[in-house]
Amino acid sequence: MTRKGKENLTAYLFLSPILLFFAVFFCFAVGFSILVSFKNWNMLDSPVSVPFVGLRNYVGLFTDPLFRAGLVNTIVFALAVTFTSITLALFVAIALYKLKGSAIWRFIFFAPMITPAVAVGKIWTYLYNPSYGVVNHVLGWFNIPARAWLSDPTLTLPSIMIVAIWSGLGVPMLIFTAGLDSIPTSYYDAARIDGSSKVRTFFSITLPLLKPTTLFLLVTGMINAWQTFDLIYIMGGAAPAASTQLVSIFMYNTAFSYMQMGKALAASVVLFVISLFTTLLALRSFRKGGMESYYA
Amino acid sequence: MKKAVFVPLVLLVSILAFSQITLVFQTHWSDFRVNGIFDRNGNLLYPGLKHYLEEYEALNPGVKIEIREVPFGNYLQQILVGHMAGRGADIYNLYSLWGVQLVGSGVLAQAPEYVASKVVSDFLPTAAKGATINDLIMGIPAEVNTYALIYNKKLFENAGISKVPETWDELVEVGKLLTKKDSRGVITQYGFAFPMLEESSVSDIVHPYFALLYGAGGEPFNSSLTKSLLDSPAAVLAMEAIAKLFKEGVTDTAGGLFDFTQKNIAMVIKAPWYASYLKEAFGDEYEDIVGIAPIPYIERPATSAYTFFYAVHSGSKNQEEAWKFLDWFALQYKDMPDITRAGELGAQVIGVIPPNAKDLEHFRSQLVDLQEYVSLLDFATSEPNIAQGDQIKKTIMDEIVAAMNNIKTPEQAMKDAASKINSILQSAK
Repeated sequence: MTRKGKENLTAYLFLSPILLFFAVFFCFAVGFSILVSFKNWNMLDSPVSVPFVGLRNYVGLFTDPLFRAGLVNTIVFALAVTFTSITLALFVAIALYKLKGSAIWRFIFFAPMITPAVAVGKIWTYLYNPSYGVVNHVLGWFNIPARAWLSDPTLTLPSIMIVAIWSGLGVPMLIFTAGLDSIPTSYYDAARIDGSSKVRTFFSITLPLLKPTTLFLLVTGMINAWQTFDLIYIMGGAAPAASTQLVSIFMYNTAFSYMQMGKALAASVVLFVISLFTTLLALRSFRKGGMESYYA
Repeated sequence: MKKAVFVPLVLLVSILAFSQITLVFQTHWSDFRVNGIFDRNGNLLYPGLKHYLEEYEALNPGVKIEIREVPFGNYLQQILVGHMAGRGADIYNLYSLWGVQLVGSGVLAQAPEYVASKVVSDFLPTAAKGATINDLIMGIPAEVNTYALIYNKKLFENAGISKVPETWDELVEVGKLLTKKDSRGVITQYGFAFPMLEESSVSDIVHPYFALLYGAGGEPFNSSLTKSLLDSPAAVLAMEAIAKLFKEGVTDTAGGLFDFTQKNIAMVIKAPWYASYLKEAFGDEYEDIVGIAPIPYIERPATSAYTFFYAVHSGSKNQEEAWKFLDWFALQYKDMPDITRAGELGAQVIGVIPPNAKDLEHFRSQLVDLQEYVSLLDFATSEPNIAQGDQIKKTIMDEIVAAMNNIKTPEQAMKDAASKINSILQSAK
């Protein structure tokens, strides 16, 4: 064996544990899910013995009004939460950048990230209570009518989105802060000398150079948002199912309450395809940018 | 000398440990239902589930029984996942609605002949039917429950209302008098409320609807349980009755965020276990606050009933021992009085109607809160054991909630419910 061959072999040997993990818990799991999505499996019989039903599960999904509602809600939820939290996180990061006492502020914004989602959901359920909740109480100071935030079908999903955005600000803010650190100050000095305004500097220097950071946050944010389950499960029970249904909740109920694992896995495949598509779209849109684009 | 004692002792303990049978009893009961009810001085008033298990263990030294408490909301999922993973319990306390699904999936063991014959001879027909799936007795009835109106006597008194509503129209009118709003129009006291966020909310929304449906002369399904009848005029009438509460401002969906124990709900429709929960919550105030009455009807008195039964897991390695325990617990009678231990637990602690005929006769006179629920058995229609029952019930709830929120008219909601349920039944064939 040549020296390069030996080096390659050594590298693969070191990588083998993680590759094995990846093969079992990703490749096999995804392959199994796709295969079973074409079967009528109730989890109690062997998945090998149950018959293929072709596209019946997929047809059943798109003719199920609850799934269709869930898909629309998931798309709206993912887009709104991801873009809003990234935008807000960027502005918070810039506002706190090199500010005195910024460490305390960063902790305040990061704290919801380290709080369990169940606790966040339960606390906000009380805050949103129509009669004694703080939200309606504060609105009352401005003579704004009280609302049933978690049972009105038009308000429940937006109310939960607000909680998702609030609780998801911390990590993007920290990552943007790191991104801001990576921009050489000489660029800002040059812009200042040339008489550039702060707004112009932001759009011409800061934002383009944060493109790789933004791409990373967009992709990871979207993937997380597509899979949101906990907040909806905890906070969304009082509203009609169609108004708060997400694909993740639909999958859970279909698999574990109704024992229709084939249909649930079909839903997961649909979600995977959508997630993949949006990720590729984001990668394509943001493929140029960052420091490298200045040297290209 | 010490070694001569120590080694055999260790060997004996090991042998005993390996020869000991451990049964896992899975239930949705928790708190005082398992630990018992105590007075202010800490004296045990009524034994909970664990006391009966300890009694059995004392009589059968080679058997240990562990209690696995699972919240009702996750109960069915836990049974299925446990069965798949080979970690199911030995004994289940099951909601009969899940029976068809679980029997069809081979999760339950059929009751042996000596158990089945006693179920037929000693239990109420409604209860025995609840434990019968595909004409086979699959367990021992644990409880049979009806739904009734629970009202706050003090709120009625404060509003000057002396008569409990008998018809649904009367309930709406009384509800209007009892509902209070603040300056911004937010309801602060509900004349009537439906639970939305509780584990039992699916049943607590669907069962009152069923009661109104039966009272309007309708049925949710045809006799062979192959078709939904929720698009019938009676079904729409029942849904319109519920929607009237929302239209008239008696209640809204935010009422589910309140609780009767907060004394700001005047009326709810609940099963007898809720009265037991209120007894624990209100303590000495219970008799002064809580009143129980039949559900106000549309055309004739009616209510819905549901049942639970004890069953043995088909995957249990100790099926014989499990049935032996259930026989002792739920079929054999104590010396004095002549009641079963399961019936005693159910009536005194859990707050359910005991399904055994002798138990019912004994406790009927003793338990004031249960009397109203027991008297409703004469008007009760039992929930059918239908395929995909859990999914069907959630579908009905979704449509009812859509109508409550005025997203759909009552007619459209029931039409959609019937259509979706027929699809589910078709897929389940």
